[in-house]
Amino acid sequence: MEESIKVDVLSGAEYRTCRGCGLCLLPCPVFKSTGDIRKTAHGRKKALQWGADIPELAEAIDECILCAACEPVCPVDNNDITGFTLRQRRALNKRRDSRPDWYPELADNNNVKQGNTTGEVALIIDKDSSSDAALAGLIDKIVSLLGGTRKVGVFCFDSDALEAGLAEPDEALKSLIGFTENARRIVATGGTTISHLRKRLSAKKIASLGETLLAMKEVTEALRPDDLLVIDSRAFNNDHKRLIRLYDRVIKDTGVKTNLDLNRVAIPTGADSLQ
Amino acid sequence: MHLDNVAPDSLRGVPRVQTNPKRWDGTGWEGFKKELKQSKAGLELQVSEAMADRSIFVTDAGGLAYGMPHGILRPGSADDIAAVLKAAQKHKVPVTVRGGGLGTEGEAVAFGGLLIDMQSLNRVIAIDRKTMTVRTEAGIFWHHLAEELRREGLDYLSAPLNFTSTVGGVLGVGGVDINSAKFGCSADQALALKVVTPTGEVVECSATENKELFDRVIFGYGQFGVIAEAVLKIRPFTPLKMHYYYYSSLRSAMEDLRLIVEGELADYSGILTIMDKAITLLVAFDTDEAENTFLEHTEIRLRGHGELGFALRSALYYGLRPWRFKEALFLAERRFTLFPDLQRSEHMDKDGKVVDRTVLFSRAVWRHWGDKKMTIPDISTGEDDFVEAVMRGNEVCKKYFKYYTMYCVGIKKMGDGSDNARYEMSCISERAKRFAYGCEFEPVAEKEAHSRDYLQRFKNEIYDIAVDTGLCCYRFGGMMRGYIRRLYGDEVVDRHRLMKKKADPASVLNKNTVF
Repeated sequence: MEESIKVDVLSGAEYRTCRGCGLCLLPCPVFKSTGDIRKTAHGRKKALQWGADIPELAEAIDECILCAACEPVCPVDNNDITGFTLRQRRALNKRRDSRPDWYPELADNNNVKQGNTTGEVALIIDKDSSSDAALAGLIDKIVSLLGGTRKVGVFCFDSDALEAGLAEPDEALKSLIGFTENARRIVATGGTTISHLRKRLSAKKIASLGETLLAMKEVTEALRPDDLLVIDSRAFNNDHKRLIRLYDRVIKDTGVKTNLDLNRVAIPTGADSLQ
Repeated sequence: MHLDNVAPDSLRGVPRVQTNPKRWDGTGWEGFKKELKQSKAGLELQVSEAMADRSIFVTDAGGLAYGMPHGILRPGSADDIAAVLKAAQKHKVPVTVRGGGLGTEGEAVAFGGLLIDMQSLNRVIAIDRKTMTVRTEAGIFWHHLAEELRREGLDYLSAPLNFTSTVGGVLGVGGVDINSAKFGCSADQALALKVVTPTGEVVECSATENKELFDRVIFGYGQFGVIAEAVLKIRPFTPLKMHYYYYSSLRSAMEDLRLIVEGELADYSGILTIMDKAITLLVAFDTDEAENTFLEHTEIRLRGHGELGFALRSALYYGLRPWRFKEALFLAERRFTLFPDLQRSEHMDKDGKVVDRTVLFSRAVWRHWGDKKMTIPDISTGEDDFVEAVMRGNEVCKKYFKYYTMYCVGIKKMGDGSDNARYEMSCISERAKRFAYGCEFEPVAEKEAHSRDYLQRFKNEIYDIAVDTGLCCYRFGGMMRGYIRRLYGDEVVDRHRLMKKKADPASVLNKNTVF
């Protein structure tokens, strides 16, 4: 496994750099709905700077929806706040017996859906589609756009356990990473999964589904000014510096409306959060 | 013995500058909490004494003052604040009110007592297109207010540059940015307030209702009441066309800024410097007509250069002074890291206009100047004092730091001058006839590490310029306490002290800030 494993340990360096500027409060959906600074990255980091222990921050750690909206606005470069939250969550879960009701059960993630598992494109869908006909149909369309079943292998990966901090990333991602071994390109739908894969497969070209589709002329030509393009917050915000250029071009070329806020950060819908 | 976490000049016989007041000893705290539980709002009033909660507020943006409150409270309404202040008066419990915590002299740091976190009062209550006003709870960030207004194609008039400040906090101080030369301070946009007085009365006030309270609370550093709600002027939103002019002479740049401000020749104007070597005068316009008029009639009068002209001049200057190559490198580095952040394409429309400029600039401020210790002393001058005061401040910066920046804007005084009660003991210099000027002086922290004492001495030396020249200082009430008599004289200060004593008999509200 890659060197990035070492960052999976919660260290003082992760929170000591916080300047307390409060910029992360501005796009944070939890702060916007509660007005409670304790529930933000700023609040948690400041508390840790002054000696708070992880269990004291349980409510705040549990409530974060991992939208990564805080990351693009943080003035500290390459600040992996989402990763920090996930590490806190894992550490917290090791120290408590009971958890909030919304926590998921651990899932079996060895679920190859279809297609060429040694194909050059690995399409990772962030949920099990086997019992969802509409989703299955959509996946077939995406496979077709990406080059067809000869080129594309589909893997359904349930990232709930990772998001909930119930599984260690290296173990949970083992079979997924094995599946992508032969792929030259990885396209994934889940922002959390993408983030984990990037840390571990730095040599692979990894893109979100949104980014991949927007690079296709037939997709962007279909966008109209009265359309609303809902950008997945996690995948976008986590890779904001790179993706904002692509999306800015699409917005200017097509006039499409999006869920970008004043900071040009994707406002999360919350639809894919565990809470 | 070398300690890792202190600057090299610490602990070597440096005279210690007292930043933190003595912590309140806690007498009355238990009685105060009991009183709150028994109050009408008692069931909803949760005072948190958890260390994890209190430690979030232990310092402010300045990072020099440190204090731990006994407890934190997040109010749900003005009535909650009223209940708190009534109980605080009775039990003599100090109450510190905090918005964004962007003061730098400990104004929003609690040295014991209760800290009220106003961020829980963050709703926009009503937007009125007929009167072009917005009514909002005062704990809202300017950024969030801007978000709500933008959805309606509207905008505030003048907000502070730093968007992580709250409306209430800024109305108590002033709030300036590059459009203050046109619209005045942020505080001057307030038409009405809902204030909780230090004795716990909830009062609506304005220029026509309870005027005396209104005049004391606006620019009042939180001494005469807590702003719970505010009615502010608003306007239609416009993107901006920015223009930049570059100078190697600080004096010339400031004189040109005066020309623009006092001639009311641009909608937005300001100066940003990198030391006194690279000075940028920026101007911007809400309309194409205003821009065209400026370009046709005013641009020719400016002594600044375009970027290429300035770059050539700088290259010649440093070419003849090769021993200053590090300084040249710093300027170049700043140019290539800062400027792209001020001109990000996702904030530009197809006509090259900047959209949501304050959001962009606010983020850039934290990225390029932000640190755990924000050292930003300001002085506020009248028209005729501006240039000399800043030149003196520049010399102070050079004395203390190798790398620093200065940021200057004009501030229009509102009204016809006949009723300036609100400006008394405020950040607006009484020497200003129509326009005040604010200038902040800021070291580039990342380049050098300094002790708290060193940074405090620097700040005090900047404030001393205001004392020496009869000016005043902007923004930071904490500084005020040690300086107000020298700045404003005994008559004004004693009169305000009496007013404060009458309004706040137990002296509980925002102690040690001004009085």
